[in-house]
Amino acid sequence: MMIKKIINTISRQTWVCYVFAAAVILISVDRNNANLMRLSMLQHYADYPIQFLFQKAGHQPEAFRYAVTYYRPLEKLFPDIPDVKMILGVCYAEIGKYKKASRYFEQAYRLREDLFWNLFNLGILKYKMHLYGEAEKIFEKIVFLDNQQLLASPFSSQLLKKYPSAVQETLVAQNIRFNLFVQSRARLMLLQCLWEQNKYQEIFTLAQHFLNQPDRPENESAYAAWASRVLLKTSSEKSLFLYARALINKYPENIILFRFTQQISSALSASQSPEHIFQNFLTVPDQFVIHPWREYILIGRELFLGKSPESAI
Amino acid sequence: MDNKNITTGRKKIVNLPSSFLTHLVYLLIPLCLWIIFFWPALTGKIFVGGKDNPQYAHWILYFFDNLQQGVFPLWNPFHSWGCIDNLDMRFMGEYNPFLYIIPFLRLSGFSDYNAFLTYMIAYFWMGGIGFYLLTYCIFKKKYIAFSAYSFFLFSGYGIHFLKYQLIDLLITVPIIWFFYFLISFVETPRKKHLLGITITLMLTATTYIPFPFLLVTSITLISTVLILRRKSIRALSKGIAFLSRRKSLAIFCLFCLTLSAVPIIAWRMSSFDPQYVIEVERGPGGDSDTVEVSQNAVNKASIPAMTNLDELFDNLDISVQVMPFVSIFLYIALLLCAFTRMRGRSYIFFLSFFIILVISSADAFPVHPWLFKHVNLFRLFRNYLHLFPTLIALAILFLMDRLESFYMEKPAGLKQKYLLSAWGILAAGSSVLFLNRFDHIIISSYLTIVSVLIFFLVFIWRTALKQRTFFIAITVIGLIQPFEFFYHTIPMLQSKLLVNDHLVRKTHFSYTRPEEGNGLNEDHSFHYRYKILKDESGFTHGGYFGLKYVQDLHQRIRRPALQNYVKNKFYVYNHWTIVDPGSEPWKDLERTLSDENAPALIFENDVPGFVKNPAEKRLSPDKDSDILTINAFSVNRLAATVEVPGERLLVYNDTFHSGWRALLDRRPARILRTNYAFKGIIIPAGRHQIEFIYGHPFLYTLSLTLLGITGILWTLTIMAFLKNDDQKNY
Repeated sequence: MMIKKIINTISRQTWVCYVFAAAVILISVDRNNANLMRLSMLQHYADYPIQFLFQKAGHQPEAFRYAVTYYRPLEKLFPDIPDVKMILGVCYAEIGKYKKASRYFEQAYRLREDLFWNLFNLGILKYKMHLYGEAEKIFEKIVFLDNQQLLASPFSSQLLKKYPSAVQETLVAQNIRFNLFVQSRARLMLLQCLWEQNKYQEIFTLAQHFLNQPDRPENESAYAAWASRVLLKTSSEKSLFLYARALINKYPENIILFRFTQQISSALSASQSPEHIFQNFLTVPDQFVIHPWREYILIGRELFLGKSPESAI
Repeated sequence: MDNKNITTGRKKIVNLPSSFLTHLVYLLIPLCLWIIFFWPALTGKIFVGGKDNPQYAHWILYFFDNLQQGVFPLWNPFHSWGCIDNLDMRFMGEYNPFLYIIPFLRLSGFSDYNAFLTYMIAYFWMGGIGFYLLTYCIFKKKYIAFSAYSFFLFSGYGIHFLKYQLIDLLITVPIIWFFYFLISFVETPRKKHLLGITITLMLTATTYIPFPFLLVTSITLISTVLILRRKSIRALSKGIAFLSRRKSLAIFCLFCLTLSAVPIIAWRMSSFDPQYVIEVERGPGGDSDTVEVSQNAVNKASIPAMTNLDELFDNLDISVQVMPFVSIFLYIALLLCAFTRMRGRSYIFFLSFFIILVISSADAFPVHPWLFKHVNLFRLFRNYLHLFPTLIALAILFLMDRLESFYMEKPAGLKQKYLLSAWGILAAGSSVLFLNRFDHIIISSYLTIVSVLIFFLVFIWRTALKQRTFFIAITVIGLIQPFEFFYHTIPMLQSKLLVNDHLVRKTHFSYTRPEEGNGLNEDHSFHYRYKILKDESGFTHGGYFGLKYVQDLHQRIRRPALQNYVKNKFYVYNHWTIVDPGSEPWKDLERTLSDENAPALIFENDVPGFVKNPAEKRLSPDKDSDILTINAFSVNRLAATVEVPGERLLVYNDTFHSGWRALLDRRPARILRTNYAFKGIIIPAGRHQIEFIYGHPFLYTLSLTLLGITGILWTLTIMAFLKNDDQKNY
């Protein structure tokens, strides 16, 4: 009787229902399946940030929010893949959540320091957050990477070995091209950060230094524009005129640079401010970048969705 | 309702009952707040309506545009070169008179967008009123109904339909009203309740797939019968007694229900037709039953696919998955009520919620896979996500029930008060710690927890609150987080997909089809499903179902050949070849489609007057043709005059389907499956009248009868409510 009464009393308690529900869920839920369902539902949105970074899709904040819901559980499942963290960082940055984005970029950096496009993205983020000092340090790190670091492959050697040797060579060449592209962007961003901090002398020295490095013609003219801008700010119009003439003599084959110096010279002769000319030649490449090997991420994702998380790792 | 009828002299003046005014105030306050939040959308500052809504808007306007011309659309000649109109199984509730608010508004000068938006909001509020009445019917207290209704309006139910899925409303609103009418009928059987039950059942049968309704109803009713056996038997016998007294009414209702079941039964039967196919991604593959889905497809539209635990709390200011949202107050309050005593109805709410949740979670629990394997019905439905509003409604009802118990069981002793306070602090503290593990929690979440704790402590220790004040206070606290959530989410509803110029009218005939890509918004891969709205070229696959012949052509024939061929809607051949209908001569077919000197291929066993003339070019009649003139066109019918010098084969490049019939000079003629997927007819020399007609007269009669009957039922139900037939029935 007593037991029956106790059972009767307990079974009427709300908390017993909660315990019952929790027990059923804990015992019978297949979390892996539940996660797979969510990820498979969102996989369409997973490509969006990559498409965006390759400028194949327009800016759609909602798509980034969807991508976040995809990459967050993925990041929890694979906390060791820096690329996933980096894409999360990009997504948050594009949504406007800079602090979170910064955290993800930093986490990705801690996982692999040689993924310097991630470092570049961190620098871009700091720049967007107006933390020019921090951004400067990051871009400086990229700009002064030694050759060995620059040519290193971010592809895991194990994964690379799965490709035929001809493909391996192409991939390595592609990697180098991409790394150089990021590095030249980092140079321009470094100069921009220095300008924001009024470090004119450093800009001039660095611009001169970059001009002596092999780079694309449009970047060379940008460095010249930076040096000229500083010269105008800190010295006189005459010195700028002389500098422009010296540039023509030094780089006679760079057509863009030639056009720049011509415009500067004619503006100065007409007693006009050459500031607008600088604006035309100074680009601020503050977009995030991603390695062209998006397969690097997608392979893992497909393997994972194919219910073989082990191979995805 | 308390009617206060005052008799003065010989005139009987009927005042508005004060309780009616209270109900109205309780109904209007949350709605006004809701409208304030959605003001930018309502005033056109932002356009809402991404995801599936443009599709629905398009279908609804397409339906009304045709109806306006006196045609009930059964065939859509603009979709995939011609397709059965309801093949997609997206019945938009054509038989719901409420839908007719749209043409009324359009006639009153509203734009298509505003008419559609107003309809959605009005129907949404209908659901809200239904939920209010249902709660009132269960708890018999206006303030509890007010509280539940407010939480419901400011949950995922109140926001999701605008951006994503009108279908959520189309499913949820009849379910809510059905339960309201059913409970009212069980308590005191009346004519108006029976009519209400009939009308909601009819709406359910003719809107979308009735599976969600069947699932929710069966689970709830089984739980009720198991938990409240005696009451259920008593209610049943009371209902039977009422029906036996009102036999004619019962027969009428039964007749209406039988009639409304015809479209869904016909659809189910026709799903075995080998002319239909389902998209590979969704179908089970290799099965003759067109509408069966795969377990994988079920998983993709299940509740875990839509959301996970984190997304219920985390990053709510940038949340994209608004459907499962419900105020954090619900979770906290349920925790605080953990030591209340359950009642019969509490178990019904709890069990129904839990079982529906488990089944809707598909592969995440072993229940659905088992049902999918053993119960055929479960293979016909995949979109469990549409059950979210129902789950929210059940959760809110359970919350109200627990809060009512909490109020009633207020501890009297000091020890009990201490224990309950300690539990409250522990529950709130754990909740804060739980939230702390997430990435970003909006401030109102914490604010709600703190407010709830303070309120509950005050309630336990200090004041003797009236029950009304208690419920109004918890409503205010419970709406703190939804307000912040709605504030962040509404600007994100902005979508360019439902702006006027995206709603394309398709009712007119043209001799040529637009080429693939014309008018499509291809700028983003997100729009892939909606291309169907604007693409008449027939190359875009946006639907779930299609006709097999068309699908085969897409898969087997190279696109340039197809593109060039289907550009013209008519060809006149003077030579053709008969091929075995079971054969698949893809090479010959591709030659026929791409080479204008090649003969037409007729996929039939026996064709009278088989002729094989020397090669001559096929003709593609256009607007200025002296061979063919279109005399009349509607989506279900095409009439033309043809004049040919000798026997010819006229090919109408609209998909072949056995439901079509042809008339040649008003006499039945045979439609031949020509060039694999299209309609052909042999025309003798001379001038002739031809007609292509789709649909049996029975279908038209049924459609119009259903429309009429639902209209009559609505009128009768409303009249019965206005007359308040209490005494009349007894």
